[in-house]
Amino acid sequence: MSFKNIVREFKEMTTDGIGSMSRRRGGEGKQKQWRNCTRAHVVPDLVAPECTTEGRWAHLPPELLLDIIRRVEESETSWPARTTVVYCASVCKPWRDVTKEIVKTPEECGRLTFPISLKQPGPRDSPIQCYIKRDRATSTFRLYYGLTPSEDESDKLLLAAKRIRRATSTEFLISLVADDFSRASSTYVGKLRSNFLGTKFSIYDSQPPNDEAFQANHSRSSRRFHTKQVSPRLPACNYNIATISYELNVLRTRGPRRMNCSLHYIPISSIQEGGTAPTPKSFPQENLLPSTSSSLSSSLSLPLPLSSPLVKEKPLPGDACNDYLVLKNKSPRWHEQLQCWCLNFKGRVTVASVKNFQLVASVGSSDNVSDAEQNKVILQFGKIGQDIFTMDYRYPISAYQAFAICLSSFDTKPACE
Amino acid sequence: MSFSKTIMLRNYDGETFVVDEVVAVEPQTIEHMIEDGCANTSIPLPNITSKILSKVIEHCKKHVETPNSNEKDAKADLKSFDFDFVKADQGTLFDLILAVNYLNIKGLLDLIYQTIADMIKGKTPEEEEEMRRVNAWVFSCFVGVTCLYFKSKKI
Repeated sequence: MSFKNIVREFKEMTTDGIGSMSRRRGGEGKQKQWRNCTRAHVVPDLVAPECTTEGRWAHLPPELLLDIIRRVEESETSWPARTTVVYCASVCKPWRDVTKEIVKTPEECGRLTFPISLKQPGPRDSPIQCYIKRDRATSTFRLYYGLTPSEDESDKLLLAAKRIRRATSTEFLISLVADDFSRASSTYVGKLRSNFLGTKFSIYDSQPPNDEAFQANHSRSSRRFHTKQVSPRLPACNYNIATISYELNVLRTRGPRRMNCSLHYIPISSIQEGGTAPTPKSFPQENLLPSTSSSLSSSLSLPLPLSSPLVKEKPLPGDACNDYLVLKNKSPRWHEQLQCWCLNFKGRVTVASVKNFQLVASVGSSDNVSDAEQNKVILQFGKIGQDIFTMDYRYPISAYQAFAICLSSFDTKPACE
Repeated sequence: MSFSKTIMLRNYDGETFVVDEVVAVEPQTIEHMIEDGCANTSIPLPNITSKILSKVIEHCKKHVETPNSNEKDAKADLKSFDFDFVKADQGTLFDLILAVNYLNIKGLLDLIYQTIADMIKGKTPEEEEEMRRVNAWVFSCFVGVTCLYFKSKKI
């Protein structure tokens, strides 16, 4: 890959933002090739060549870099200006490390920065507000960051989905970009699949949300096993992270439908006092570089015996929680005078539609969840115009999960209405 | 006790700068050296070149000489001085930030931090690409390390 190609790709990258900034390393073709080269060549540690005048900025002392990048991050809080922060992370490795250290998760700061922010839980206090645009002609749905579509159409595209109808099911493929839904692409995030009747949907993610639990168990500090190992690479498959079901309301034939959403990887403890929700730190491709652990022995790591107590402490990836969180839709009230079902969307939804919903946690009295938490609307979705819908989400779900749940609302069949 | 004492600073090139003590104590590093009694002969600053040291001294002098009043004129004058001061090429700014960090001059350090941050924010895409091209060897190693490793023998 010549120098010219690298520069050309950087040129392309300057026109993109969160969608492909930190993920299009060397182009998609290269990404495919890397995936095909599965023989585990351990890439040697980088030895920095002689420091030239030109490359000096890469060697700025970290404490100075920290201050500079922090100033940039604190002043560029909203998109599209926030692209600058993503640029800082793509200058060189030291800059990337410092930027990733400075940028907080959406839960902590309420802002979306890197693509991985889309898979991290939203803020606890106030929701992140987005909107979805439907394009009937191409059967695509795009999620943008912002309250409502802006005049100059400069809003930040977060995720895009394409609906594919099959004989016995419908699938929505979800990607970081609007023009590539290929599963082999580095921009592929996951999918939503429905059953034949359109009453049950499954959300699939290309990485388990509790990735970090797996990495924590296999980090250098795990002394039980020999630690010289290639960083664990999870199998490239889809993880069923949630299931959504729609039920006909049997009490009133034309009443609102009932929705239930089981989030298999988010435990109920996440909404209890002091609880946390899984927060992946990076996409699976970024875990492919070997960990530079100092080895205790030169042999490869032994496979984990299942009976080991270390294994039972935290759930492994691919393992859902036993006590996962379930969301249900808030029941609208019947307004006798207006003769309609009403839900308080706080001005974010203006057009009546059967697709509109608000999801809250479905907990029993024994689950030890405070009333305040029980009443919090975790996901709100509704129509504001022709093919325009707003989506507001907050902790403990992520933008990706929220988007996928909203997509299911587009595909429910008359069977459940 | 109002005689003006001078301090000698000897830098990387071996050159000596004689500055008034009031100016010399702007950098906290030098102030501490004087307090600890290490400034009897000349203070060595082996990691700073003449060009950078003279710029730093110029900045310290200006800030010491400008009366510390709330007058609009004085403030505006200082602000315009600072604005012109940081109009330097990237190489000079880089050397400046390292020197000022070593000398520990808080006001000037903040000014340079902000200048660099503004440069990053205000860059046109061409300038951004230029900066990346300049650092491309590091980035290409970091990003395309596998590609380079597998694709070509000449890294």
